[in-house]
Amino acid sequence: MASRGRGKGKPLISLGGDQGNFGKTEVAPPILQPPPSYLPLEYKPLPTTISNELRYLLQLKKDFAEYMHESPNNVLPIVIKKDIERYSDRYQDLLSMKQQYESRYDWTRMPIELKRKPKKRKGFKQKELVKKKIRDIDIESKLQELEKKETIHHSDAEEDEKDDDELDEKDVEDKIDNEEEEVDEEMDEGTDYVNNYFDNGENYEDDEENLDDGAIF
Amino acid sequence: MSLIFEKLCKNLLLEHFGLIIQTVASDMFQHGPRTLNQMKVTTKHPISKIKESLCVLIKFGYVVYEQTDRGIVYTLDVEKVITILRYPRYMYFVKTFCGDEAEMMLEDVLKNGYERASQIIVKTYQRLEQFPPERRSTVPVLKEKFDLLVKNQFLMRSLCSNTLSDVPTDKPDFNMPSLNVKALTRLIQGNEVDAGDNNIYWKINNDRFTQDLRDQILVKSIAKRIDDNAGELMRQLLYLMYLRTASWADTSIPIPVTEIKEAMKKNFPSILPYLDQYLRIIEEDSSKFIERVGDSGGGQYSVNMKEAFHQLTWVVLENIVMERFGLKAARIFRLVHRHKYIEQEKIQQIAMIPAKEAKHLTYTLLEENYLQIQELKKPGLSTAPTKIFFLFHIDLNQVARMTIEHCYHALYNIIQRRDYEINSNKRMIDKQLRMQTLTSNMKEHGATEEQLAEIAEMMTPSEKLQLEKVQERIKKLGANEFSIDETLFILQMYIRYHR
Repeated sequence: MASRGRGKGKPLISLGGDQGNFGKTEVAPPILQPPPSYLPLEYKPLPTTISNELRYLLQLKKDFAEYMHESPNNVLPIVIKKDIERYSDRYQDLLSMKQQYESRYDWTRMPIELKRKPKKRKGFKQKELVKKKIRDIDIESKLQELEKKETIHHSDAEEDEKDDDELDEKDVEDKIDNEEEEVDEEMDEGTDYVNNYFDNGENYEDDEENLDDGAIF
Repeated sequence: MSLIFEKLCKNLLLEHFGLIIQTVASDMFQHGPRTLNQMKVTTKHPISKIKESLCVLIKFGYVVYEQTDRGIVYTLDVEKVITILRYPRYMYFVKTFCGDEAEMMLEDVLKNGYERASQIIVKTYQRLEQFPPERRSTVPVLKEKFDLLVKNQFLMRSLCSNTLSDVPTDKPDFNMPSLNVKALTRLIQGNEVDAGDNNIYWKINNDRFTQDLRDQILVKSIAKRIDDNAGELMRQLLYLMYLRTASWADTSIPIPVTEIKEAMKKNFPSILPYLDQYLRIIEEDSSKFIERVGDSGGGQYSVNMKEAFHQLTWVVLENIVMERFGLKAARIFRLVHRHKYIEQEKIQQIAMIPAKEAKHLTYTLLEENYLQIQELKKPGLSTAPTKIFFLFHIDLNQVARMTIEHCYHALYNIIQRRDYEINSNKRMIDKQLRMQTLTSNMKEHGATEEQLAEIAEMMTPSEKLQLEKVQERIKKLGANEFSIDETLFILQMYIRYHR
């Protein structure tokens, strides 16, 4: 078998002269069917007998595989919900015992980098809290200062009150500014028109003229 | 590591842990040790999922990690992945050796990778509560069973040094912590108590199970070849071997006959009058499991593991050749084995097979790599083919390795085929499952016979017939999976001893 098929150029030694005139005398019958996809089996395998032991092993195997597949060890992909959030979703989550995987491990024996980092959103909120605290302290210290002033310059109370008002106004303005900034930060980049808007400066002078016109009437 | 082995491992992981873990593992297959970020780039899964997968893989011991200057590097332990195939065998072995409760405990460990002793006992107790009272056991009994598992070294402590660098230094630790039985009972009632084994986890001892399966094969084959008494004798010999020899030594340190006698007196007295004959039979048998090494002290025997697996591998390969190529090919295979190096003409003469057929079979075996050819040239002569001797011989190591590959391939094919059978008949299997749950539900609610019969009629007779056929086929495939694994095990042992 191994000697057949290859020797195209010169005939192999073991093949006799009859191989040479093969083409002249005989014409190979045309092949009408494709060859079978599998060779016919010459030797059939032995029949399988399933003993009781094997049956038990099979059951064990099946149970184990099924358990593992159903268990939380089977990491499932994140399912993105196509439609709206439903009220029942919450309960289904409870039913299916969806836990964060972190709670199942003893982190003293795992590389800590596998622990999920807290999400960015949370970090943002924490920053906000810190800001607010700082502001609170500022106000308190200011009040204390004011009290001191009050005790010292009791006679010029009215002027002080004016000053206070001004200070307060400034504070309020600051606050509004801060809040606006925060809102800006919170806004999605996609919807922020300013980011996409580009002024090439061509209309700059026209605008001024228009303004002038407006002023003239 | 071959491609088909990789495919088989991936398939096993897919069957047990799902798709994401499979892709993470296959990434490590392809690229070797990887860091987290590298995996993130290639697998294209969200990083949190990769982390979760790695956690699972580490927990089950399929992945080990190591701190390097590149960061933590994860490596897949492929030899461990393939042992998933043998878990049912481990469970069955423990069941016969230590009893049902021990089996449940082992199952629990296998299902969790590693676990605390208190948790294992609590869970087993709760599982046993579902059984009828005569099969339940108390907490102290369960604790004893657990001690037994540890004493037999089926379980060992899972130290937190799962890292690669520590592996050579850490010795298996079998120290049992002192468990507080009262605390255990309170744990069962659902209270949060410290049972005295925080941070002490147990995992299965793969090495121990491999040894046990190895011994089981020896005992079984002797029992089959001679009789059950001889099998029992072999078991005792192996036990005596453990007492004096390292577990993976090639041959045991000689065991004096007097000691064998004593051991048999204790464990199996009925064999005593025939002990000498039995020893002689096992020794003279062609299987060569034991050999007589000295005459001092009434004779000394040693168990020769290396030779035993050499012989077993021969038998396995001979049988494979016989089943694949027929009786005559097996005869030629044996002939070449006996003569070590033999010429084509000689085979034809000795084999008592028609010359042409013998030639054909020899070359078929050569083509399939069961035989190897060795050219011998006379030095200084021309290279004309007539002057060269072609000697046939068998390179057992190579043939064994090739057959291992075949086993992997067959296992892979079987799993594929099983999946195909299940998937193509999914509708019917699901329907049967639905019917079963429905019937059991209805029975609980006290349904009449008629209603039950109605449910049973939901499936047409032809469907039932088809389902039966499919299930039979799946079962057969599963059974074959086990028998192939057994062959694989013998060949792996051979390679292990003859490296």
